Amino acid sequence: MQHDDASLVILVLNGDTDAFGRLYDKYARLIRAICYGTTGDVGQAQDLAQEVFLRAYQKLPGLKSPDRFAPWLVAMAKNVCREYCRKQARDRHILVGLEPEEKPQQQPRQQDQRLDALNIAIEQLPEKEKLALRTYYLQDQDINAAMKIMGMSRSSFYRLLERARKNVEMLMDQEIRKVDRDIQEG
Amino acid sequence: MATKISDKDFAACHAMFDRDHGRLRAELLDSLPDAPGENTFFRTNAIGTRLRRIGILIGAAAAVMIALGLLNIFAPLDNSPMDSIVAPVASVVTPQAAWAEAVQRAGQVSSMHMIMTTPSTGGENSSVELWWRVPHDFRMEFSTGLVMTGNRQRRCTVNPERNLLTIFDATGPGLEMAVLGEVGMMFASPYSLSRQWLEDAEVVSAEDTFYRGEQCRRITVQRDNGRYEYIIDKNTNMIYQGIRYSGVESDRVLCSMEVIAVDQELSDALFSVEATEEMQVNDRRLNLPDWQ
Repeated sequence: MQHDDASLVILVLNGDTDAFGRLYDKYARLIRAICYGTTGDVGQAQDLAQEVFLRAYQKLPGLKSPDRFAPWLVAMAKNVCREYCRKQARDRHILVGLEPEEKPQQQPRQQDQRLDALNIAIEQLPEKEKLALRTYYLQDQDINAAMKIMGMSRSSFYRLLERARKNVEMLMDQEIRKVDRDIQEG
Repeated sequence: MATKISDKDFAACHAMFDRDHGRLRAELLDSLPDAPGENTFFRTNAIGTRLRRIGILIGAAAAVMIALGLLNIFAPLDNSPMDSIVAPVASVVTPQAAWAEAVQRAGQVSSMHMIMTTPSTGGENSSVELWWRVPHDFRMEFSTGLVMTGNRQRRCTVNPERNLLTIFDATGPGLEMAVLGEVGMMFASPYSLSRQWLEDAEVVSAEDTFYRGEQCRRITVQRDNGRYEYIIDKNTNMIYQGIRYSGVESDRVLCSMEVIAVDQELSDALFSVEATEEMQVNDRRLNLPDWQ
């Protein structure tokens, strides 16, 4: 039998860590993807995601509506990412006395050029479109799960997803053209 | 012509977020404390520490009582919110006063039976049914089969998936009530929380309606950027139903809570679970002394 999030949250609150493991299985990939948008590095995104889940576990008793665990977790991930950015900026400032740098350039590690370009294109999307796309594909293309996390109606979510996909295709075209140009210029 | 990207491409480019999942999962679960954060107040076996913490709680409670007492002394009697909520039902004329009376009335019941439903656009709705009795007995049955109970002696959770009965020390209904949302909290929370409801919620509209054949008021309340709609009996001021919407302007229902009965005689057996032969039992009680 499949437990919903509210039941799993209640089990966790009663000391069942396996239930927390199941929530982790459900949402860890999405949280890593959100963190990747900030760090641009998979390893660092994994570390940040761990921090998000640890914090979620500690703050779980304060969650008002257990059935809204996923949006709550996503909001927490965004907070952790903001704190990470602030800390990075502060550390750079202290260490070299310079103004904070821009977000580091993405360093995709996947070998396939097409997938590299696709990931770079996704990262260039506006935040909401990026989150919609990531949520949909990291929830195994389950539209109901994704729209619940985003707190949107089905039609609004479809519209947003469609717009995100179109924009990704456009951005990816630009990215591929750029790579071709770089190759031609040697 | 724009590049076409298939679902397969999208799925493939997200594969990197799966990397090391098993190892990371194991590391995280290993590093978790015994219980989620805010539950750690009493989680110590040192009796001295426990007593000291109880002392802190008693001190805090006394401070709150003194503060409330001072409020009663200094607040002008004719404007006191307490006066409006203890006014007889017949004198209730404004929606704000009716709302206040309903909140007050909810805090006075001796038992309550309700059900909360969360609509799902895709699959089945999820729901949870609750029985609650003053001061600390409760039973919850989730649509997933999960059962939770609590009485003065112990709390029990039955996980149907693993056929596992877990037994804890009694702590009374607390966190569980959060599952039942605002209506459940109004009935079973300490009075101070109900009072907070009165002060924080703004009545934005009220209209007469019929519900279960009774003359009722439909009162819409806003609080914390949320919109709540309550059906309240016009004569008794009992809350029959509460609906929570996803936003102030939204018509999308997040959950609906329906009070089935109040002040019923409920059997003691309802508030505990006895292990059957097929069940695994995990007794997590800390053997607290009797004063617990």
